[in-house]
Amino acid sequence: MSNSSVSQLLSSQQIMSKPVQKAFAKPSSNTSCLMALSAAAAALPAFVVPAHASAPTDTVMGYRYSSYKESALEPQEVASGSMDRYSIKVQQWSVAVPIKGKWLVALSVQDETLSGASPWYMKPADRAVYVNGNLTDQTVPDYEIPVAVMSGASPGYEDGNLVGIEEHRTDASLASTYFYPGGSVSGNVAFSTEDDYESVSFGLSTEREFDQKQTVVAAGFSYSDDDIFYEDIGRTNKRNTSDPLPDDAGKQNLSVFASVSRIVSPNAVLLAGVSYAAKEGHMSDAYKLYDMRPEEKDSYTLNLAYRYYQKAIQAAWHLDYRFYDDTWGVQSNTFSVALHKNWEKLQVVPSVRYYGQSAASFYDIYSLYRKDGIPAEQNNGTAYPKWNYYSDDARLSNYGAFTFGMKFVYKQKPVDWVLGFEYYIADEEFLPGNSDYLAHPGMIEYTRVTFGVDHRF
Amino acid sequence: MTKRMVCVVTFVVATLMLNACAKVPVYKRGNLAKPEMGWAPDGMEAALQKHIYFAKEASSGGAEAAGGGCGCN
Repeated sequence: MSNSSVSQLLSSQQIMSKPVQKAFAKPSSNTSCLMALSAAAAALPAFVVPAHASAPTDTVMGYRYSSYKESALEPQEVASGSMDRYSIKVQQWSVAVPIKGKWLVALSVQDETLSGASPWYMKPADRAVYVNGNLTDQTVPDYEIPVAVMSGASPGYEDGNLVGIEEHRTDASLASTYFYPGGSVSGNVAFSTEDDYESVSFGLSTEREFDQKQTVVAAGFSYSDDDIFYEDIGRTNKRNTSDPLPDDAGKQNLSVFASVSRIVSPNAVLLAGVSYAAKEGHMSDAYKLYDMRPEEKDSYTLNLAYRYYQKAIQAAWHLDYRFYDDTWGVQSNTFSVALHKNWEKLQVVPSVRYYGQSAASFYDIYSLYRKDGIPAEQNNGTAYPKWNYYSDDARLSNYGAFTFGMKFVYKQKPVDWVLGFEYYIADEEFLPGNSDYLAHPGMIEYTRVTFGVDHRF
Repeated sequence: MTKRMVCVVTFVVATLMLNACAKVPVYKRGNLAKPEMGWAPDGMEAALQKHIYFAKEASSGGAEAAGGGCGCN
């Protein structure tokens, strides 16, 4: 397919992200880096990664600034600590340069700052005990009302309390694509660093056109190696005493994918893809007290994408679906619809996304009882057998989430001005058949604002 | 329920692809070449969304290789 639709299915930046970087980080010389890359490539089965089928002709420079703040918890949802949650700011820079019509080299940098509080662990609320109608100073746990013990809100302040979290992350990715008649090959290296985390990744992908460019087959892989370290490991290990960080904490991530896309009409193109990822290493959350996760996870996805140009309204419909399944027991379905409508120089893009997932097999909102287990006679008649793995992370529970977006692009050649809004809300009741599920106070809600500019020349 | 849905969706897509054997001449592909018909026309927006969802949801990955990173936040 010679148009940009398939070529943009996966930008080379996306193809190889952090996984690949780590394989590059370990070797001590360029030669050993290349050997590691070659060995990894040779060991992998073929898979598809759509890239650019034809080289772009314009140099494009872009900038984005995004800001969002997660909604605070309600007072009745918090046992102690701050009710505020994360405030996040992200800046992105990118430049993509075509070279002699056969190459495209792209550099992207992302800088993110984050600060605020997060749930440390969950516990049942204390319910007052009445005797003969009189309030006593005794309490019993009310298992129907989970409350969060939060970290503090102010980073760097430690006065006997758990301090808030502050992170600074910088991510850089360099990608190169070579175009030849009927296909392309892309490579990417990327590096990401946080105050307590480093990730290096690399990836390779290829794309091939068939049937007079009506069908495109693509495949690719990526590998990342992440290191987790803390300048103040004492503070971090205090946060998660269930699975404290070992000295050499880290994880590796290998992923492969394949896809095929086909023009189905003069106004429609369809893509189907599959992917597999294997993670191994320390995956427990260092910021949660009762969090012990398996050190391996395999995941699988099925992706479908459909683009349809509706001439009557001169707009493009984007329909996407993803099915996800992993060995932790999480299954999810993601649907998204967007309409790209042009009015002369103005483009408006309303969008909606739905995400619904099942819980991980080791999720329990009262994981504090799962670490060691507690018999019924010691827990007001409610027994909690000990689990090997446990987590009370809301992100591993049954829930659904909606995202509503609206983006405006004003095209004032050679510059495009971008203004975007996005509202995200997650809730247990958004998952069909889940209305009786015990609600987790840690469900996320935020509104994001993005401003940006693209310059083509 | 989920598996049944996946099967149905896969069948529909496979049928669409098989039915699309008719050639679409190159000169009729003008609409397909429009920038807004791209799989991800705004790469920076797509990269940011991918990162946000990676941090806030249990699922990640898809039609591209998975990335690293803490995802703790």
